[in-house]
Amino acid sequence: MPAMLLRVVVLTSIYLLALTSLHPGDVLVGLVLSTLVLVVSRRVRPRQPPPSTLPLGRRLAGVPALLGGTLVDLAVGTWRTAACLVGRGPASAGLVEVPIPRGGEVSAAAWGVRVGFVPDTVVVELDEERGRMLLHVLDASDPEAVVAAQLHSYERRQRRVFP
Amino acid sequence: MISIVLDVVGGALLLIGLVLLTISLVGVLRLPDTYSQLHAQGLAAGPGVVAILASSIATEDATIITFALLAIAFVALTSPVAGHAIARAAHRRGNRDARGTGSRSAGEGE
Repeated sequence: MPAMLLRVVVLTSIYLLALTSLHPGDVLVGLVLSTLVLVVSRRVRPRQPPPSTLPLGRRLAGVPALLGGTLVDLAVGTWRTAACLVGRGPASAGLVEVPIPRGGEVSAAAWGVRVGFVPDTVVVELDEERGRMLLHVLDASDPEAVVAAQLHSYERRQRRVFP
Repeated sequence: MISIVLDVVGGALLLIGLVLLTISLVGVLRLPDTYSQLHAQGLAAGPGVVAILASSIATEDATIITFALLAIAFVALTSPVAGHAIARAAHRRGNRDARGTGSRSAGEGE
């Protein structure tokens, strides 16, 4: 229930930000629309049982590390990609398969978005049922290092929020 | 004083964004295969656009900055999905990258 309320509040906030209005009528419409969107989306796709019993507060406490860490990954990945494109191009680019913990759809989706936003990695396939993610990376000369880096990044950035 | 700092930071972010977009364009034109071009495209669709939107802090206008932050949030969520969709389609069509990896028979893994 708290997670549902949080989603309604976040969606309503986005609606009000887009309108740049705090008029009571707009707030009411935002609340109704957000609730409708959430109810319909739950009916269209039945919700899976939550993979983790972590309390919401502890998960929210991990958000700064997730955002900050993703920004660091973004800066590093941007630098590597830009240097590669300006230089000789990707000499050792290739596909690497990364095993991912079976934490459910939300965890896999969060992993895909987090990794896919960094330009030096492209998510080719993401299979949460088989627990694998196929990445195309600019430097695939050492696949084990790529896997280790991805798992390390998951542990430090994502696990507390989307286990 | 703060206004000058914001102007400088905004200008720097705009410059960084434009440089990234230019490098991205060069990369898309130079690189030989779909996967590598997606890395170049990701440079524009991710950090390039984010840097240009973030340069709106120089306007010191709360409305513009709020819209820019919203746009950054949406770009952060949609850009990886777009890249993934293209890469997945290329992989399922059996496209190879420049090193010859990446081919796969259609329908495998479904």
